[in-house]
Amino acid sequence: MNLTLLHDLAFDIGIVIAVTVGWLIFVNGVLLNALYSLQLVLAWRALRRRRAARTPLSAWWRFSEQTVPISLLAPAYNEEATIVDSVRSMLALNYPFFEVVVINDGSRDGTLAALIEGFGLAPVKRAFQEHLAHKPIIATYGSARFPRLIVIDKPNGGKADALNAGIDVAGSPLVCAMDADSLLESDSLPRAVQPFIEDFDNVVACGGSIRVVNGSDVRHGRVTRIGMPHDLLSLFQIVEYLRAFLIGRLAWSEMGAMMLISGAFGIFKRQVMLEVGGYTLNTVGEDMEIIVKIHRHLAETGRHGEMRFVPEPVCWTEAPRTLKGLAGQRRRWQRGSLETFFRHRAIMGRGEYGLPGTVGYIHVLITDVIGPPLEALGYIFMPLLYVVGILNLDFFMAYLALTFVFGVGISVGSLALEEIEMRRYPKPSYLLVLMLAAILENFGYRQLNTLWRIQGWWQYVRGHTDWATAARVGFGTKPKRP
Amino acid sequence: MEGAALFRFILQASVALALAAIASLLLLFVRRLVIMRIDRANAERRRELEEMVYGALEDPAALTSGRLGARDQRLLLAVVSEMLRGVDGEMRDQLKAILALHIDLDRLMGDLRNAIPADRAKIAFRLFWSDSPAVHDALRAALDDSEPEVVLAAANALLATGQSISLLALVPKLESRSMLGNRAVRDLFRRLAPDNASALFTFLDDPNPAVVVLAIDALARAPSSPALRRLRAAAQTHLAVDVRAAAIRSLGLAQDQQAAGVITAALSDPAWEVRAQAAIAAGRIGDAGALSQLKKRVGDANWWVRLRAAQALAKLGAEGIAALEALAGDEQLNQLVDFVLSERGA
Repeated sequence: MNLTLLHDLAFDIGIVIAVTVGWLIFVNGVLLNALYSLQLVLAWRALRRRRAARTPLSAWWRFSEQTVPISLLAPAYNEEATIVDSVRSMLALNYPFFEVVVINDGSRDGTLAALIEGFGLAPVKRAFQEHLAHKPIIATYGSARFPRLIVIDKPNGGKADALNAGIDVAGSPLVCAMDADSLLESDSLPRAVQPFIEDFDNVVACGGSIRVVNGSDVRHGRVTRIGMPHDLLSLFQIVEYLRAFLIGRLAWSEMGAMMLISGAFGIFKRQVMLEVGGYTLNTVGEDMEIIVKIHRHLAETGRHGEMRFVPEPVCWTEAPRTLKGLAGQRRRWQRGSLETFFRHRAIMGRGEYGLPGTVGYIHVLITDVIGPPLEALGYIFMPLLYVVGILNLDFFMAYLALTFVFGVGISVGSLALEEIEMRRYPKPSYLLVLMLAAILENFGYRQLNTLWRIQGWWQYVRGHTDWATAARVGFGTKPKRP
Repeated sequence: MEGAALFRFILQASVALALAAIASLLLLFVRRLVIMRIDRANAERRRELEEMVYGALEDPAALTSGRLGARDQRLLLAVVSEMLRGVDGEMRDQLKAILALHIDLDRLMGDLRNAIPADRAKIAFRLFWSDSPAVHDALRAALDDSEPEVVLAAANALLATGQSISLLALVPKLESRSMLGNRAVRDLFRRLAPDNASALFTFLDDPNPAVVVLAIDALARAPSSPALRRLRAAAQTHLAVDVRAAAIRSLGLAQDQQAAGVITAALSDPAWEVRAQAAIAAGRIGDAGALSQLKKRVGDANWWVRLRAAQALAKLGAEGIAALEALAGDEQLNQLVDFVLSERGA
């Protein structure tokens, strides 16, 4: 008698738990898709309202008189083969005043020697104060032929460490954090500083678009022909980057709650970087961490500061072409997001930190913290609940629509925005190829991503020890977070 | 029951969104194909028309009469108007004869009123060669166009035809279309300045600072004693920061030695924009009397003022350089001073 009762009770509790979890997964899906829809609308509005220069020449004509000096910071680790071409392309950027600060982060190959030979470098003295924490600078090199170039040599310490050294040495009020293998388009800088020109007192940082270079032709550090890759993995990533930048980043910029500026191309006020103590060392997600740190600092010192995203300036980057490389990247990004989220969790939901503390942080919670486990759980749990009859067909179909169909609309919508407003892909057939990729990515690729993010979660929980190792992998092969 | 309706709504909304997005992209794909096809056909036809024009220039007897179709007329206008910008004399007359033979000006003037804005601007921009009073009237009418681009193109075309434009009449039109911040308007003011000197003086008293700034900029291109006197007064007393900054900038550009005292005083202006312009102007006129004020401004609270003051010192000769080198010992300023000195060296 008692056993039957217990059995019934356990069964009922099991049903209640199953239904609760099912609803939790469902509500999370609804919230995520509602957020994406909101982002799509905000991005569209922002694109319609922007006052971008139409051509590189008009950008130069409009902004060149008012530009603010910039120091480009390019950390380099083991990039002997490409560093000279990369730096040459940086030196050829269209901008009235800028300097290129290459930080040789203890490369084990001939990176420094290639730079010395390629640019006729010689040791020079450079007056600077050590405001930030980083490994000691061993030597500074300059060139009479290339007065805009300065090369710092220091022991290996990771990207954050190298950038801190670069910020210390930089001589301009703006610093542009990038990777040594970032391919900036020649008019990227005048376009990217537009927010600073319009409102120098209030803007503290701004980011530009990152696009996947796979399939395009690159010559001497310049993208000479925009093309399409032949592998699905690269195509999926092109769609992802378009969605992340043209919709996600633009929408958050529009709302005033930017939580990330890509480490491959972000411009910051140097003074603000000094105030927050620069990049946090031994971190995987230094690009996200610095943004949250700046938001926090501004709120705690009672100051107003804005972070903006400008879609026109483009930095091209090579995306991983193998599943193994991509998996490592996504696990690292997930660890970086979690690390930042928990490090600064004190600001979550607190009104005094403004939109970044409320809307922005809750977005990170939904998409990066609870999102992956709930999504993974959904893939296993929801079909099971439907098969055993706990969920009805309507509920299950709605879940499937949220999981597989809604995303198609958002991804294809981002491609439509790209075509209406940016039109960077020269051939119409590329639209169809990307549309196909945007549909296909929902069936397999997205689930793989969830799996990698769960693995990233697990690595974070286990206190994975390759924080520093990951930072030392080398910037030349480390893809950028969209 | 309500739950079932909600689930069905979510399902339908998801499918509708996905289908709508796909349909939009397919339409955009078709649009792109059509645009590319039209562009290609236009480029080909343009080449043919270029051949025809070159043939007619080499052998005027080969010029045949006959109106072209609407698209060809616009293409021919584009081809010939580009050529007209670089030639004069007999060849100019020949090109105008070709246009007169093939182009229906009445139709173009109609297009100038009714085409889409981008086309209206192009047509206005390309009518600069016409001696026809009717065309001039049409261009004057285009000054009232709702599109800023068309207004600018019409104004520039009228100027190129040698027609006068009253700035007093034009400025309210530009103002109502929020065009005063456009750099092309600044260029237009400069071009109109010689015929509109009295209007520019009138604009110095305009309540809109943007108009005053444009007038100051235009006056500084052909500085006269009365103009410089007014600029000095504006630099000292005008309430708008932009106007004071523009006046100081113009005095520096005009190398007005009599303004040295005004510029030095402006180095202490409460607005950093004015202080920065004053530092630049002091460097431009090489005013050694501003040395001590410039040294103070190297420690200004605003970065731009610090930079401009240091650059101005570097232009004041040995005394300025010595002052800069003395400041290099200051750990707050050494980066800035190093930069300015190295920039000077470069």
